[in-house]
Amino acid sequence: MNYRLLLSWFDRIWAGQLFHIFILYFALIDSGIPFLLKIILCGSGVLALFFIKEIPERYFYWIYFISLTICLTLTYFEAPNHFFLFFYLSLFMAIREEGWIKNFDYPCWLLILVFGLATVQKIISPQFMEGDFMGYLFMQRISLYFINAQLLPELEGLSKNFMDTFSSVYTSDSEILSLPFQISDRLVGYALAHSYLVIVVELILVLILIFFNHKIRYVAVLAFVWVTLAFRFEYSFFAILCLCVLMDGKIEKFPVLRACFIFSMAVFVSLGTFAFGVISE
Amino acid sequence: MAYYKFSNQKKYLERSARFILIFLPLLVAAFQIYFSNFYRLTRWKGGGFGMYTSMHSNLRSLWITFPEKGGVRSIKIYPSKHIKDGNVIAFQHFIQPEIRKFMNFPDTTNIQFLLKGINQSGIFSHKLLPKKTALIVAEMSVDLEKRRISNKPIFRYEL
Repeated sequence: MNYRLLLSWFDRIWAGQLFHIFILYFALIDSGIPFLLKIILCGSGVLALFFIKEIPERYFYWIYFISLTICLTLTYFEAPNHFFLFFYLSLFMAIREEGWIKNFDYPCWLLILVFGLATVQKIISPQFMEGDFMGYLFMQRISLYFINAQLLPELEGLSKNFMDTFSSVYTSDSEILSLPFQISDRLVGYALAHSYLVIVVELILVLILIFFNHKIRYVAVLAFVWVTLAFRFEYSFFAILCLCVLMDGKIEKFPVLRACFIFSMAVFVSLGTFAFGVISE
Repeated sequence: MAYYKFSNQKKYLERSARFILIFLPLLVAAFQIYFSNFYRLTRWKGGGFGMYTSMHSNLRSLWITFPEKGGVRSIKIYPSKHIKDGNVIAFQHFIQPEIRKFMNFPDTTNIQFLLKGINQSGIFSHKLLPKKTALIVAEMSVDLEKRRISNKPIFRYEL
């Protein structure tokens, strides 16, 4: 089969178009946005998609930026983190369309900031560094249960006991309560090792994003997103990470990678629409 | 001369734009890290990209405690179990969003919204409550070393 035909189909989609579609999608799906701002975002998204030749694109980006600023100031304590990414990206696009900056690969900087900050947050969080949070995820069967149950056969019985204890604390009639649960030493070590592994992987990704060339960076981000999808159900966040890479100017040089990113973004968006997530953020 | 001036201005514009674009996320994250470490803002929210580093604020619960004969009684307000019948509808529609917002950042600075929501919902007025009544936010935590699951109060507000 002639794959160039398929690639040419992907080439016709440009990054701005994806951004408008994304704004529309999030304004429709997310319940945290105030109603008036939803209408403004949807309306400007539709206008941008249909009247792209008549109206300059920068106006739409300024509208997105201003309405996201209002939305974030109103819902600062509830807004999910990908909203902030959207906010930064729309500011960047507005500035770029105005012609104030040239040759600045901001999306790559943004990815470095995101993964760097995530690593810093994990290092300064005592719950994560002592393995408590990872242990909770494993015992509650939220993360990687099928692999863990193969590696550690005792997990099944222990996690059943843990889940019962957890729900009895959660539904208890007292605000101060502490109940014991059983766990093997091997499982504690495994949870600790896993949390250190996560930090090491994120650090490696940050180093790749800083020091390596564009092709390796993109492959690393794509691999990270697909591997992480196996145990974290953050579809919308991953979709925005893909959009971030697609906004980078240098990706035009690698049509195959670009097509991969567009495809995975479509997958994440459709997964997010049907809401298969356990914890959706 | 005019061209020189123009190009200089453009360079200045580009530099300041780059500076803002890089430092805006860092500033937001610095605020988030400050409030989540020294106050009770959950690490999941606030634009600091601290997802999956600590327990979610879904596992926080809101309690009201008041003195009774022979001790102190505490009732769970959220997630609701004791509030029954007609009040459930009022509760779900008027205060539940307020409480969810409050659970992400329980603090004396933003408790007024919650009290306003509680008064408007008609479940009870916080001014009519007995003395020494307090609102308490408790959080679940897991300790692998001590092998215990515990629910501990992290915030207390005397009404």
